[in-house]
Amino acid sequence: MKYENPIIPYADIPQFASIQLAPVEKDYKKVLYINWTIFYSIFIITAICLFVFIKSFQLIWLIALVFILLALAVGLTIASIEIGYKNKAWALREKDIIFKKGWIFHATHIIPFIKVQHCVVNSGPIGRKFGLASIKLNTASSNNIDISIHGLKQETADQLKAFIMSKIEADEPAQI
Amino acid sequence: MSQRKYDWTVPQKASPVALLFIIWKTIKDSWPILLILIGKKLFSTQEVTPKMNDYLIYNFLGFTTILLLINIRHIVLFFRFRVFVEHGELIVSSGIFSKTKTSIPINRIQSVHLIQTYLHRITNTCQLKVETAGTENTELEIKAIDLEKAQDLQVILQNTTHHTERIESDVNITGLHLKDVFKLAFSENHLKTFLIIVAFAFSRIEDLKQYLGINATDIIDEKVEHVQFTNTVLFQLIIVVLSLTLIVSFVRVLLRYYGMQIKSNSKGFQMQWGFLHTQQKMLIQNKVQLISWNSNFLRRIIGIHIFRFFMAGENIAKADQHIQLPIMHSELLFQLTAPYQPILPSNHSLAYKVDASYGWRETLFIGLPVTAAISIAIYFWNPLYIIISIMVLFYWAISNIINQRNYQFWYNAATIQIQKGVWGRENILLNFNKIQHLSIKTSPFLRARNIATIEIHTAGDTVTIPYIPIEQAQYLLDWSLFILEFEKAKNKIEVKAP
Repeated sequence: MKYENPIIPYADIPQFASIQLAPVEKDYKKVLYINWTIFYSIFIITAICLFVFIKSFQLIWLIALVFILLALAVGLTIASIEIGYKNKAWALREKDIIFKKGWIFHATHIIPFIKVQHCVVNSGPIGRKFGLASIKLNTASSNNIDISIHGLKQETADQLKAFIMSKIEADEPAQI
Repeated sequence: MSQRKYDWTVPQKASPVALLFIIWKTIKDSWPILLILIGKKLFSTQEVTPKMNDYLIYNFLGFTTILLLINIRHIVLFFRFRVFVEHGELIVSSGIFSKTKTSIPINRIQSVHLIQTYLHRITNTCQLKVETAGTENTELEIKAIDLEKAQDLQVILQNTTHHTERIESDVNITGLHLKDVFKLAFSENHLKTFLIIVAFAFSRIEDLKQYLGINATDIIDEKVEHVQFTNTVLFQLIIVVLSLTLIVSFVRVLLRYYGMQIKSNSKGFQMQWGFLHTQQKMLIQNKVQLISWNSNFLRRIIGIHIFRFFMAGENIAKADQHIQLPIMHSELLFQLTAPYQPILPSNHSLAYKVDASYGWRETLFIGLPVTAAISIAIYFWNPLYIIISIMVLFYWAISNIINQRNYQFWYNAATIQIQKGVWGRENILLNFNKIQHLSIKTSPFLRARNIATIEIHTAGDTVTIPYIPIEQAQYLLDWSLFILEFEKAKNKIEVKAP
């Protein structure tokens, strides 16, 4: 038997970095803003109540400090939404899925379909109003790392799930 | 096919010895109460009357009855418990009011673990644990089952996992001698042992205070105040501490590795170890996710490694779930690594280093500001003590630099090997086909230097390669995926690294 061991040039291997990633839906930014607005509103209302009704909290420096910290947190949240949205992108290949996220620290995750154990489509009440959903992929990976793609259209998430499930079924059982 | 001793298609019960463990657990749970009652009796200043004695006994019996009632569920569960094999699945049925039937596909089983305590040995039974990749918890645990029955089930599970392979007879590849135990004890991390002794002593002092009302800390303080710390006393103290640490290290090694036997066959490894607790674990070779071997500074000099198999679904924090094997000679290291990967990349491939900034970034951005803040606080207390924080920072900085210099990795068509460590060394071997998912991470600092960190996630553990050129990181990811997704091609090709 003839043993062959040809060299494969790196250029012939599919390169994930050259893939054009698709951004998530624009409405996802609105969903994030609404979610955070609700969170900060609750915080501000609670803070106002405390300052109005509890005398020992009625200190100028304390009120100023809380509102400076709040303004800082709001600023950081806006930056994280704006920059984070720009960096959130995904791409589907025949054998794996790529997604990128993060605003200061960038992370690109690649999950081969042969390793996916199951996937779940989620949609929150505000996301549903905009027809958005997220897909969470589970592998047998030892750490509970959140590998969810948020800000997808409900139909896209459903199609993606059906596509991945068909891939999983073709490779049953998922390799460990 | 060999004749089986037990028919596993028929539901099998656990051994009645399991009931003894339930009772023992009840007693164990009630020991603090018992201790309080005895303590009250021993250290009570009041005169003890027969009425008081009765009161104590009734108290104890009352608490024990309550605990027994709580554990009654376990007793009923014992009688309802059944385990059998059906259509390639291990079926466990139990439950009191609602019946639970758990099916474990045998091809998903990662390892089968048999543990024997003294009680098990006397009764010729063992504890059986079956682990899968699904969860970090043990999938099936039987507190006591007949030893022969457990071994029979172990063989069934191992054989059913690989239908195609022929069973070869077991080959005994190692056993640990007494001199090996001495070598291991001598080269233990004595600082760690000393800290364990200190922690143990403190917890016992707390127990004395809590249960008996004796404030041992005050007694020690009082005695210490009367001691004159001359050079002789200090020397004697050091000798006592060293001897104690060595004795405890020896006992720890003896408990962990005594009677270690490793048998190998075509399907994997069968291991047995333990002094008081005899443990037997079956490892299915193709379920091993990654392997590692490490040695501390002393063991590196005398050529001892501690070998570790990473299996899917193991909880790293639970020591009884993973296997650590002492390797006393390099031949055994090869015998253990060969079934996973016979060719070590370090033998044939180029060594790659991580970026120099890995050695100083943490010191500069974390160590220095933290030390500065702590030093300011210390300055107002005792300026002389600042030297301690500076020394800690200095040690940390040196360690980081050495760690960066020692960090190297190699890869070939199928495997990646990592070697790291400050004073000791850790080697990690990971086959690309065991990867579950990959990620590449950057921060503004890393992006500015055009470097990245990659994380390779497997079902056993996550391996991180920090601070490598971004092109190399991308290449490693592409190549891993290529091997993973086109696994069949992996033995026919060779790719030159860029």
